Amino acid sequence: MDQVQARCARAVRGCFVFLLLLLPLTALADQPDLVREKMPNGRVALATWHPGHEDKPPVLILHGFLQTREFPTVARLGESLAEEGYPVLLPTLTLGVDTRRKSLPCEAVHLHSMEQDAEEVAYWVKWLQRRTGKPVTVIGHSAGSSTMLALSQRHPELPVSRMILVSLLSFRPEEASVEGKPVPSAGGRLREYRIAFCKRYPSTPEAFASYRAWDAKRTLQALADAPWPVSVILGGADDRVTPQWRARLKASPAELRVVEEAGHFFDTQYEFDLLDEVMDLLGGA
Amino acid sequence: MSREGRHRQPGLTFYSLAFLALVVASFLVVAGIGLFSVRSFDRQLAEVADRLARRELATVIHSIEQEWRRSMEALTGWDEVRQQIENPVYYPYWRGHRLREYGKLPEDLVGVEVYDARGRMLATLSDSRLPHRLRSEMLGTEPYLRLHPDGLVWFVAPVAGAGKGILGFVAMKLDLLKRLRQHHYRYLLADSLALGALPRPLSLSELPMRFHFRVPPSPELGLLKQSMTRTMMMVVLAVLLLALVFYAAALRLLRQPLQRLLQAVRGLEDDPSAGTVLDESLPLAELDEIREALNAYQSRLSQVHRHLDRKNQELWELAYHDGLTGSYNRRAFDEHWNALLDTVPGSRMPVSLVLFDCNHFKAINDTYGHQVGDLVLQTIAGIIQSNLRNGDNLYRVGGDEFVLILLDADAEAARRLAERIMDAVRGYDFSRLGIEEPVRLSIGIASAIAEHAEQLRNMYWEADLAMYHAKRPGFHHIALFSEDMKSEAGSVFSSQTIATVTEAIETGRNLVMYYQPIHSFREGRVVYYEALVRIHGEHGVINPAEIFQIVESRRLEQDLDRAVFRQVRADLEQGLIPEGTGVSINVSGPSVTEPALFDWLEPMAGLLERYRIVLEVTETSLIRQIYEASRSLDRLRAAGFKVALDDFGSGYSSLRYLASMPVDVVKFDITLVRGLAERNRQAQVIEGLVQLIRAAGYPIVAEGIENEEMLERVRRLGFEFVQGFHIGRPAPPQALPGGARSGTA
Repeated sequence: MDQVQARCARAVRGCFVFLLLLLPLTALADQPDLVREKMPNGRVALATWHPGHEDKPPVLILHGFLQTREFPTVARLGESLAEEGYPVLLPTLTLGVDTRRKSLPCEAVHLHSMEQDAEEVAYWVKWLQRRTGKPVTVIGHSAGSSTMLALSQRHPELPVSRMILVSLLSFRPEEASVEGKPVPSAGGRLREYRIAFCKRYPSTPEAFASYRAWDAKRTLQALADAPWPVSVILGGADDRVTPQWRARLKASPAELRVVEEAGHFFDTQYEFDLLDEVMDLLGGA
Repeated sequence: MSREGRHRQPGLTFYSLAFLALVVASFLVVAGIGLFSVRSFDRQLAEVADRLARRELATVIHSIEQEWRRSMEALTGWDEVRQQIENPVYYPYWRGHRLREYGKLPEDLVGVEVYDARGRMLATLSDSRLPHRLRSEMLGTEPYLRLHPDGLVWFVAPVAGAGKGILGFVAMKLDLLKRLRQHHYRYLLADSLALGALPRPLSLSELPMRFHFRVPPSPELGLLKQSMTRTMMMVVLAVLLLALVFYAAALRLLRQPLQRLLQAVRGLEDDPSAGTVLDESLPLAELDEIREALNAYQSRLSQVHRHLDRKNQELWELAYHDGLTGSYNRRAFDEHWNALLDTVPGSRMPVSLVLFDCNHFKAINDTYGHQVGDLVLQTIAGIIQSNLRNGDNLYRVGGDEFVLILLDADAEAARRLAERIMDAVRGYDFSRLGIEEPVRLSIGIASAIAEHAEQLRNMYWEADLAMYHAKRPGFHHIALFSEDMKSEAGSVFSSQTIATVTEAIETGRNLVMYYQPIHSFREGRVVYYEALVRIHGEHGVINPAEIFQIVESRRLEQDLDRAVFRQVRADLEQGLIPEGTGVSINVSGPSVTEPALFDWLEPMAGLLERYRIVLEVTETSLIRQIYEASRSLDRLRAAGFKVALDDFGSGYSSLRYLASMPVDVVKFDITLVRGLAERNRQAQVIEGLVQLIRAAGYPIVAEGIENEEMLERVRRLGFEFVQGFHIGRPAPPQALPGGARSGTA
């Protein structure tokens, strides 16, 4: 009965939010800025910046593996939070490409590493904290959550108030060929690997290993060692999340929230559920 | 001029064909202009088609360029390109895998490479279709898009970095020609596209004018040409048909009627008196009017023709007939006799010439008057003609002289005819005409065989000689010429003499003039000389009597006169005759009545200022045709010539005639002058005659003055001029004194 009432309440809120979206809300929200910053590795990165209200905690939302800040799940979440008045920063990892605007295909040459990614996020956290003067809530989606964990390990000193990890996954060892397939024309250093959703992932062993290292064990360990409060939101219908992984997360120190029937990307009406969960967590920060 | 010899003018057929040729030529000119217009139109269409094709080509090139630019824009904006520029370690792999699989590359791409900001390829690649280093002119902030002489388009575009600078370049080589040939065009044939050699890289906007191509055949133009050709063929057929119709009409309506007219007109040559040219009507009204006009003209011409025939007949009658007797005249005799001399020689036909002369006819005239004399002549002519055979002609050749030409009649036949005529004349009662004394004829006959031309030419003289024999008192009045008569007359001339005389007359050779002085009592000097003809023969000078016999027998009097005129004129012009004197020239009877006498003498008129020129004519020649002679002499007198009546008193001199004669001087015959020497009645008559003539105003010349006694006698009688051996003998001009001198008795 409680579940039915909750669903009804979510549906009503969803409809309400949907109707609000139909309104010209752009006048109510601050116009986002495009921020261009040179990263520590020398690459120039782009980010979307919603200044929001000063009384709201700033939020940094990171996209998933090889994606950009325009990926729908993070983009809609960021906009929604911005509409709620939250200062929101949506950076795009350079992945070794200046001002990267589009997702990097699996088949592209991948010389970027998890460390570089974490360093870029660290830069943005600092940037956001400087802009708002407040500690930052970092939200990662999918592999972005892994990057947030890597961030927490590499820079526990950062002013992060909360870490929300949406659709947190680990790189499955069975999906990745550790050795990779050599590429003769690439001079011996480049190999083709399988990782995440990529069946051909040309990369150097070091770069590949930086991601491959984030398997379930290291992820759970990072959750356990996280210096900031961590919440994990999973979609109840995320086909990439195995029951075992959900159970192991539940068993971790992190708060686990599951949006029933939502998929990996929280699309369609489940984005509102995701928003609700996030706002709920932000409200509790 | 005969039709054959006449220059033939072009005919109707020629003009018809010329017209046809003109029509065809005009059509060809028009057709040529039409073809030229079609070709010009064709060229204009080709130009339009070329413009359209180039415009279409430009549009296609522009479209391709835009497509390339979009592709290049996507490529230069591709993150991975920037990634490779920034870290080109694995550029060969990336180019071989990622770039090749990049779905937005142009389909006509030959090669593509990425270069750094300095234009160096990100990696040294042996299989690259592009150079390892870009030329400096390609490295700009604006894309470099040029077609290079290698036939490929080079497209180099900068890749923007994170800042404002250029991160690197993307270069493409594109096969524009291949791409253009794959396109489907409306206004050109894609397969025909070709590009000539390029002197330098060209922008794509310059290319449309650089391409060579063919345009697809225009169906509209083909239809137009086909239509024009068909129309032209129809016009050709129509023109040819019209031309043939015109030609047939020209033949039917013009040529055939004209030929009928021509044949009819030519037919008039055989029958000029035909009343009409052509009776049938002609198809064209104008031609029919011509036919009617020709008929009317021919009708009038026929009338005129008949009238002229009648007039010609009358003229011929007047010209060849003697108006008094109805017989042929002297002119007719001369023509007939000359024609006979030209035609009959060579045949064996005997020819006879019978000459009649009425005895004492002048006495009859003087006694009974002219009218009676005329009646006598008419009667005699009638009697002669009534005794002639059919075809024999009678000619009146002088006042009372008649001649018969008898062909195919020998001397005996002629004699028998003469006797019949003589008997008839004898038997005629001339008292009916009021003549009491008998009228008798003297008849001279000469016969010859026609084959001897020389004999024929002498026949008139022979007949004349025979007639004078017949006139001798006591002889039979019919005389047949015989060789004895020649001997008696001392007139046997050698053919050499005759030839010399005739040649002298014809050419003037051997003909000289001797001049005998005529002295004037009043002026006391020789006032002029009588010109006397002399001809040098083989044996010296030919006797003048022989000359005149030869001349008269051959009717060469006029020719001799003209030869004398020429010679005297030459002597005068050369100054052989003393100036201030003059000459007197004897003029024969035939010349006196000759209308051309004035023309013959006119060249001498210019000499009248220096010389007195006297023409001496005998009363006989004057009396025979007094009217014609008077007219001729009056004209000469008006021109300044003087006329002397020569040998006055030698014949039947009539004072009645003298009064009407156109003479200035009367020259007494030598017989009259000699009669003055007698102391008898005759001398008294002559003296009276002299006084009578002087009283009439005529100066008188006495010729034959051979001694002083005669000279004195005539001077006392009142003669003004004297001539004779006593005054001076005839002498050649070279022997004359250089100037006028006083002659002495």
